[in-house]
Order: sequence, then C-alpha cells, then structure tokens
Amino acid sequence: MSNLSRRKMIEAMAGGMGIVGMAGMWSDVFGAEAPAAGMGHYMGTKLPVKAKHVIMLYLNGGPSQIDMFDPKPSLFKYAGQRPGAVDLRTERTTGGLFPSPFEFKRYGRGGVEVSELLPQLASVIDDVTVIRSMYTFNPTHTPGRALFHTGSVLATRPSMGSWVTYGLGTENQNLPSFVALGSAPPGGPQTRSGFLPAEFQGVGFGVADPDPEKIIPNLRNKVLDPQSQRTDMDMLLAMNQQNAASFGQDQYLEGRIKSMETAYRMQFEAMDLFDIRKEPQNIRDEYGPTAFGTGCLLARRLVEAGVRYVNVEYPGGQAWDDHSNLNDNLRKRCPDMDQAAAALIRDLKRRGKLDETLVVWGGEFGRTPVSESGTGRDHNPYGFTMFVAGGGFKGGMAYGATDEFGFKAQENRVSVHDLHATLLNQLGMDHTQLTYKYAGRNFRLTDVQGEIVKAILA
Amino acid sequence: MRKILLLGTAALCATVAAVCAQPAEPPRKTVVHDPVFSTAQADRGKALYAANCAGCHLAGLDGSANPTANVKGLPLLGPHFVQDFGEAKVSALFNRMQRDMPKDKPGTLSEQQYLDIAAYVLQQNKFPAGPKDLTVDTATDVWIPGAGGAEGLVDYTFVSGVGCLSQDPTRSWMLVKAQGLKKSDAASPMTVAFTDAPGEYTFRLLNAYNYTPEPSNGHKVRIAGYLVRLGAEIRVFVQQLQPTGASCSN
Repeated sequence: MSNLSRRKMIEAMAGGMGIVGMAGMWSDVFGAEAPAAGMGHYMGTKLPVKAKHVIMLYLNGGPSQIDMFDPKPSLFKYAGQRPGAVDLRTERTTGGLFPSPFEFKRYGRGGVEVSELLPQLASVIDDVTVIRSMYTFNPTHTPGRALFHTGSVLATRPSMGSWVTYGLGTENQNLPSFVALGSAPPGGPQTRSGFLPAEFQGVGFGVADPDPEKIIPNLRNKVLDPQSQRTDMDMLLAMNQQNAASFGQDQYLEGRIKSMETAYRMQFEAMDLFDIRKEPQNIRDEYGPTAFGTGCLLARRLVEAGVRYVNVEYPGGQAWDDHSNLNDNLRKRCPDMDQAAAALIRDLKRRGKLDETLVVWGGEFGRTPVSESGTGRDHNPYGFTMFVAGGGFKGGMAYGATDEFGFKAQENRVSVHDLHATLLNQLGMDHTQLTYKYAGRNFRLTDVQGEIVKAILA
Repeated sequence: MRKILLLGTAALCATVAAVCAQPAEPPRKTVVHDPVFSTAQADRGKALYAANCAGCHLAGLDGSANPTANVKGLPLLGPHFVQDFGEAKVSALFNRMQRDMPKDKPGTLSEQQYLDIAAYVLQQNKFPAGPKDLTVDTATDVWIPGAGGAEGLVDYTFVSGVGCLSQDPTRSWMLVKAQGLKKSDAASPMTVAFTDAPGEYTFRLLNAYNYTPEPSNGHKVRIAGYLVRLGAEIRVFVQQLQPTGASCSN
C-alpha cells in the first residue's frame, strides 16, 4: 500500500474517474483508513513549508484602518479641510479630513500602535505583522471582494482557498478541504472554484447558532444506516461512471460525486468536530459567545482536523461599511471581533499550531481619512491595513506606511497580489508555478503580478 | 361706535404685542445633579445590582471596556459611563437595562427593580440623593450631564489645559483635577492663564505617549492640543505637554 500512491492506485482502477468515490469504496472494502492526503496538484518547485493551513478572517465592507491600526496626527491639524496639495477624491462626495477620536498606544516589542478599539489584539501584537501599506485598485465592494479573495475583479476566477487546496490537497478525507464560515453560509468569491475542478469549491456553513445540527442541517441520515447508505452511494457511483463513460469526463459530475462522498463521510466526524460546545467553557468564553467567536473557534478545530483553508466572515453582510456613524458603529462592533481574533491567535499559539497556520485579517479595502456625511468614511482601496499572524511571519512589527493623512500606501507598498504571493510562498508554493490551464492558457492566483514581501518573513 | 371699536382693537393689539415681545424664560434642563433618587432606593438597587449585574460588571461597577472571558460587562463608572450615557436622559440608561439586561435573561426584572438599579448606578457616579425615588416619569425628564470642562468649544478647537497627569490601569494618560479647557493659539498655547486652584474635570489625553509623560506622572502639567469628543467624553489630542514641577500629592 505504501509503495503505491493513492492517486496511481485509483487511476489504475478507475481511469481517474470518480476517484474520491472510489476512495470511499477502498476503505470500506479493505477496512482501512483512507491514506493521508497528498493529492495536491502543485507541480512547481517545492519551497520550504512554513505553514500548512490558512485561516482568513474577513471583515466584509472595508474596516477603517485610520481608527484601528494607522494613527495619523496630521488629521487633527487639518481637521475639516482638504489640503489642496493632496487629491483625496474617491467615488463618493466627501468632506474634510476627519480625525479619529480613538486613543492609540504602543504595544509589544516593536511598539506597534494599536487603537483602544482593539485591546485584545494589542495584547498579542508580538505575534502579529501589521501591513499598513496595502492597496488595490477597485473601490467597489463586489469587484473589490473578488480581488481580495481571487486576485481578480472578474466574477469567474477561483478563490485563494480553492487555489490552495488545489495545490496542496487535503489532510482529511472526511471533511471538505476548504470551508467558509459566516452567520449565513458564505458564497461568491469567498468559496468560488471558478475554472478549477468543482471539488475545490469552498463549502459554506452558517454558524449563527453553535448547534452542529443547525450548522449542518440534515447531515445525519435518520432513515438509513451507514452500510445501507454506502450501498446506495456505490450504486450511484456506478451509474455516474456509466454516464461518464457515455458522455466523457465532466468536472462538475466529479465535483458532485466528491461532495456526496464527503457528505457521507462527514456524518461520522463532522458532528463532533463542528460541536464547539465540546470545548472547555473557559476556551469558549475566551472566544466569546458570538457568531464570529464561534467561527474563529470552529476554524481552529477545523485546521487541527486537517482542513486546509478556512474563511471566517464577520457576520452582518457588509458590516464594516461605515459610511455614517463610524465611531458608534466601531465601538459596538470591534469588541467581539477583537476578542475572537485575539483568542484565535492566542489559542493556536498555546496549542503549538500558530507556527503552521497563517491567520490573515482584513477587508476588501479600507476607508478614507476624509468624512462622508459628517460621521462616516468612504471606501479607500488606495491605502489600508491588513495583518498576518503565524506561519513564519515575523510578528511584532508594522510594515509599510500610508501618506501623511492615511489615504494612499506610500512606503513599502503591498498589493493584494503581493500578499497572495507571500502567503503561497509560506505554504511552500511558488506563486508563479501554481497554475491551471484553462481556455488555452495557464492561469495563476497572482495573474502576472505578485512579489514576495521578504521583509516581513522570519 | 366705530371709533371706540378701533381704539379698543388697537389697545388689545398693543397689549398682545407687549406680552409677546417679552423674552421667554428658557426651560431649565433638569440634570441628575438635582436629586432624582433617594438613598433608600439606591440601597435597594445595590442589593439588586449585586445579585443581577455584578457577575459581569464587577462589584465595583468598573467592568471592562473590552469585555473578556472573565469580565463580560462594560464599565459603569467615570469616563466610560459619561461616554455611553452622558448628554442623554436617565431613561436611556433605564431603557437599555430593561431591554438588554441581565445579559442571560433580559427584561426579567420588574420596572421598579430596574429603576432601583439605575438609582444605584447614578449614586456610584457621585450624583446626589434626595427625598424622592426615581420613577419612569422623572427618568424621561432628567439628563445625565456630559463630562464638562469644554463648554462652548467645538471639536478640533486648539485648546490648553492644566491639571494633574495620571495614568489609569489600562495605561491611558489622563488629565485629572483639571480646570476647564480654554481655546488657545496653536503658536503660543502655553501663555494661556490658569489659576492655581485644582479643577474638577477629567480629560483623556490622546497621543501623550509621544511627549515622554512618565516623569510627570502624578505632577501638575500644562497641555495643549486638539479637542475631540467620543460620545460625551472629552479628549485632547496632545501637541504639547509641559511639566510645571508641582506635585499633585498634596
């Protein structure tokens, strides 16, 4: 068994069709656990592996860097004004410069400035690399989101989670390799597999209620026992194979076979795994009793179980899209986000998992230093903040800088493609060699761009 | 007859005009400095608070600005109380409690019990007790004042102040026992005159860490910077910090 790769064995048996379904039959017939993963399609140069998993904390709507991570004293000096030397225009009509009323303090060995809105994240800042010079080129949510998750504004490209799982495969055959969590099951660019085979699409779960029966409704088959289900599945598999033999290979059919097989297998592992109520009370308290807290805690459990990529979306749709009432909104919204995100970093570190997990935090863009409607801020793709913890990033530092007012990334600029390239590098893949041939040419997550940001790597 | 009627009408109009022309007395805003609860009510509230609120907000009402696993409730004292409930009616506090508290079983206390707890919270924020209990009616009429010390000054005004420099448990720099802030010229803010008497106000100092405040902790300082409000709390984004050498221990 160990001398014959899983892929070769199954290909030999089934000509590559329905490989995962056959894997289920394999373990049932031979009574053995499915062999641990591999299955990655990355064929490029093997780079040193610094991380095996990614947890993306996604703050939909565009969180305000000015009020959280990027203090700008000059905003007070010019409050209410629009200095003529700087072009501060964005897509909406905006007013004068709008200082943040929040208090910043220096934290950690690097003296990184963090706002009073984020005291918990401030307490783990030595494990966090704050990138203050992020930029993209699209100021609108839908294409901005696509750019953030897929590296392209087009609504057809695969998400980073799909690329990563396509490249590296999974560590657990009983679970989806790419999971997306939100108050409602996330979709769109957060889970899209695009032109990659459909089995690499992210599986969305709603975690508004921590009861696993609510997170994965109808997972348990209440009518058939496992053996009867297996018999059904095998018959269906045989019929699908017959269909494929007649009509040729179809990645969507393969994806469906895979998803049915995964759902079948999930019955036996997922209910326990998705039940965060099995965690000690003090751990649950540390994350907080909110949907985002549940998402972050569940993300930790999933990566520990071998899930490759977990996207955790802060609940409430475009929750961070503060065109008005910014200060009040941030005071209401930051505490539970701060608590859960910091708990995740702390918990992963305690369990020795932070070194092999990339925790990425951010939104599709940031917000303007000028006010919109007097109390809010407009979208700002020209300069904003993200952070990465773990996975071989240095931590305890702020990298890059925006201009005097926090509007445009100016020093050590980092594009979304640069960040994607750097994350793939830590996962052991050269971003220029993680490719998929579609419509006659090779595609990449980073398109024709992306430079690895070496200065933030340990 | 017509002449009499005209004269009468003219006299009436003159009287009405005279009455209308008198400046109206502006209605006085009742604030909680005018006693609105009794000591007995606050005592009842204390027991209720201990049973229903202290688990999250702590016995001393000092909670946590960022709730954690161990401390789940926000502070109900001092600047945080002013931030959240300053320049609002007492009914805002009462309604919030009745709607959302206790967190695990909101709305389960009686109206009178919520009023008693509100009275206790006001008492702990140093508002005076009087002869009458707080009622739903008075709660809708009475205001909780803002922090004070910057009346008439709009946000981002360049101001000067004097008071004692202090650091709170979260390492925030505060100007305590401060006199009211005064508008000043950014070019020469330290020339603004203040008396030597200690003041009654507290201001949070933003950006103070860039001015080496540690040696002046517990001492009287002059500060200058930009006024900014968060909720009803008054803050100064510090641009200058000057020790006076005087200790605040006396």
